[in-house]
Amino acid sequence: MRLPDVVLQVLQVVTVLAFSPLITGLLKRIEEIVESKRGPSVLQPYYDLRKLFQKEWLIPRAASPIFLLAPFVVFTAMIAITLLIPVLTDFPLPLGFMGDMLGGAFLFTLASFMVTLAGMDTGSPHGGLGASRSTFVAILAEPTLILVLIGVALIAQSTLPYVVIKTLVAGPAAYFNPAHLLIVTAFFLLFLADTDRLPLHSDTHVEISMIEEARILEYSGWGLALLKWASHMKQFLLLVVFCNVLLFPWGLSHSGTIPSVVWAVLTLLLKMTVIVVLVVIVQTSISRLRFFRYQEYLGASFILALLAIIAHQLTGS
Amino acid sequence: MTTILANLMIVAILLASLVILGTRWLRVYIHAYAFQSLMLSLMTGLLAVETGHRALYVVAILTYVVRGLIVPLILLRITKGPVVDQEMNLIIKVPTSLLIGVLLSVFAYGVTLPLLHGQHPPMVVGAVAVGLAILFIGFFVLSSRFQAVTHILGLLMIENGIFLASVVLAPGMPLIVELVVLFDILVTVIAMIIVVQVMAARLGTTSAAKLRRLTG
Repeated sequence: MRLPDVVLQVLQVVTVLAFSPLITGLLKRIEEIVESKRGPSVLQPYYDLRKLFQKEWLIPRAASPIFLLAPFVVFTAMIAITLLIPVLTDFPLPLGFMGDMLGGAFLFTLASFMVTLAGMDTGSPHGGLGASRSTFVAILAEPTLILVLIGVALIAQSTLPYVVIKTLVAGPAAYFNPAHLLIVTAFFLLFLADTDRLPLHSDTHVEISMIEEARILEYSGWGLALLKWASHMKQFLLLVVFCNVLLFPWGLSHSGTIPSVVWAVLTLLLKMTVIVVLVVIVQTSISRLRFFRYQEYLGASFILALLAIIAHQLTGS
Repeated sequence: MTTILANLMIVAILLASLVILGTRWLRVYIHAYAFQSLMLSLMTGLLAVETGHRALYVVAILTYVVRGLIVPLILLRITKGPVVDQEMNLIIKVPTSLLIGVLLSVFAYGVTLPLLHGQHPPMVVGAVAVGLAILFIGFFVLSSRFQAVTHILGLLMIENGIFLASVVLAPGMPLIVELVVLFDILVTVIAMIIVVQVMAARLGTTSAAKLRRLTG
């Protein structure tokens, strides 16, 4: 039996809401195991969220309405992005045409912008520091993102993720196109930078070295819970784009029936586990870059994306 | 299938030369060069299968042995010494040199396309463009980095570029030409090593930036 499109669309959001903390927990756990520690349970992010939702949201006296608004804008932006990208199905759902991949990128930027404003809002030094740093990273990462999208658009002749999937699945010539492989690499580097991981940011919880986290130090209670959940979702959504669209465009539900949707969820989690293991290898094998060498790292990802476009020209496809 | 493989190798070759531009560690340079040579020999092997020239198999194997194994091993050995700086001070910093490298690649493509367009399959045009791009990048490495070892590598990269373009354009090249070229490479490397040793012994450094006077 084919599920109605509306149900699929809702299921898509539910999947992202439900499983995003799991991936974060999994990443922490595998990382601790690699470092020969036991580590927290895979479900720890869920416990954290439950605890935070039961607590009171203390609002600093200096806070303006921006500070109150930010968690909601961020959370809603993430849900809106979920509607745009292929989480479960490889055929477009009705709301999938609201925006293409560029639209998704705008929403990510909007969310990040709101957190930056909120970080500066209360006038705490850490918030300002985090805002300045994350803006610096965002400025350097933005050109790569645009070039990645241009490269994808060149390969698939479209920026709609569903069309990209169709093109890549069509045959080995499209999948093993050097341009595509370079874009995958560039996107992975971008993913590490965007989700606040090594080599830009280490896991040590010291205010002096924080980037993204420093912006939300003033939040507490369920406001913080919303922001945390949104950051889990951001990581999950970037992984969805990376796995379902770019790296493994297989296993998505084609018919929209219940078993195929369940299968799509399972394969999605499996694909993400592969990437998570890759991220853990990166996290545990390299050290953090000096702040003024970030541009070398992000420059490298920029060059990879640029090279993808050149390769597309060179190979004449 | 052949086109897919060939395209992947061409881009890997270009990528290796950008890696050389994007690092400041000598060790990475040499490994990237070895990887580039490996890809070059695989590309030659692929051409041998495709065109049926027997001599190309020999060329592929010789290319790998000389460029992919012997030369990198020799270079790794001489960089082990205490005099050679493992990390370089770059005059043109990494992001800028990467951008220049990309611009050079685009320029090489722009030069190649009008020359070969229409007469050869796109794969050949791409390979020649990459060969030319590596040649330019090799020149850039030669002129912008002042370690004696990077000078050798710049020279070897230029050589790789010429080899790639020639093997794709004229697969039926006589074996003797390739033998001469490989012998040339070995002699060049050995001559440069002697220069490095002399510099290390006389000056205590292998950086050409310290050379100020021409003396007899």
